[in-house]
Amino acid sequence: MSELDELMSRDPINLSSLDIDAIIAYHRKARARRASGEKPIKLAQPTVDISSISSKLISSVKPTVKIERKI
Amino acid sequence: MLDESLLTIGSTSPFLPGTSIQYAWDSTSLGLLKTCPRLYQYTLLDGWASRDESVHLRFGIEYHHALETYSKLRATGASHEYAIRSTIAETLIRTDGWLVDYNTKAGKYKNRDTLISLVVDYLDNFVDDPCETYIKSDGTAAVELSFRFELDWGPEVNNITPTPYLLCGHLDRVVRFNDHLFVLDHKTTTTTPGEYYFHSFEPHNQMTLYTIAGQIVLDAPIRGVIISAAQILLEKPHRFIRGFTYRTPGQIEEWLLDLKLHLNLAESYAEINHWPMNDTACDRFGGCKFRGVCSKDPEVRHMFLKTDFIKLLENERWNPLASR
Repeated sequence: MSELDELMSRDPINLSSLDIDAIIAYHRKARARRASGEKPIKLAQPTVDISSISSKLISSVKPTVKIERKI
Repeated sequence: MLDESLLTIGSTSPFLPGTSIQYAWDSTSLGLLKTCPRLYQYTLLDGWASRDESVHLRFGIEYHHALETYSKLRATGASHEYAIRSTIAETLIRTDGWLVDYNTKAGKYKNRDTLISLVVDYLDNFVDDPCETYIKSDGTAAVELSFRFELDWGPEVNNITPTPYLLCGHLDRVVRFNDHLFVLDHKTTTTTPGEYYFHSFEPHNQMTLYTIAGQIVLDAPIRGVIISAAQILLEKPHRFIRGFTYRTPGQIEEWLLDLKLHLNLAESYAEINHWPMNDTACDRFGGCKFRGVCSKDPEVRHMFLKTDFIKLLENERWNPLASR
């Protein structure tokens, strides 16, 4: 696990200003590396979209009032 | 001078009670209706959404929120480094536990890591932003302004108290650029924001509405919208390009006349509870997400909707009246 992965995996409430600065510094260095043509380092990747899973369990009601009007 | 009585908070239903007649419209709902009434029905009325959509929506919300946080801090006199640190700290807290499927294109480009990287790059790129944020009369920055204003006509429905149509939306930022006022709108894209990209905003439903909204809310001659496009790139630095789109008074007048006709048609569709397909729009924007449904026999479409889409709760659906 890289230093960035470790910082990103922590509870963000517990991150210090120095930790946040380290994350920002990482992205600035990554930008400079990309600009020079260097390939980016792959980060650890979680793979589940929790919001879409929970939304699958949901149903809803359709409006049903009838309105008489000529078109 | 900003008329703050036209800004809005809270959220109520955008539909007349007990009907499918929408009286509060924003650019998203209006755009769906104009593109295809059936697309509008599936999305706005029935609440069907694709799984990728939640990723795009969440990414957009967090990106906008981060830039709003930064702009507000800078408007109070905070330094770039202080404002960026606070913005990233808040964004990390807001997105804690947000997991996406990196195996999809949406998840590969739009996730927590690319969000943080895009925000850092954007803020560094525009550290000396030539667009100066407009400061409201209360001394706060004109960012993320939720607006609503009444039109002088409304739906014609029997037995329901006359209600005027409302136009609503969110202006990302109002800025002064070269002594002129503009609405500035943030866009994220994975494609190149070149000439073709910026041409797509002329004519453009959202940009015309935002020009009108800016003029009404600020009571000032807003000339148009600055589109601040951010291209998300994985192997190169993200790109940030801005383009201008202007609207003349004649174009605005024409748009409002067309709007009247579009909304009148929407009332008719709601009354007969049938939202026709615009089968010339199925190919647009790389293909409509509901094409696989609309191409099936009407009797079996509901099964394909249930299989391929998720149905959002009423309070999760797109609501033009919801404040951010």
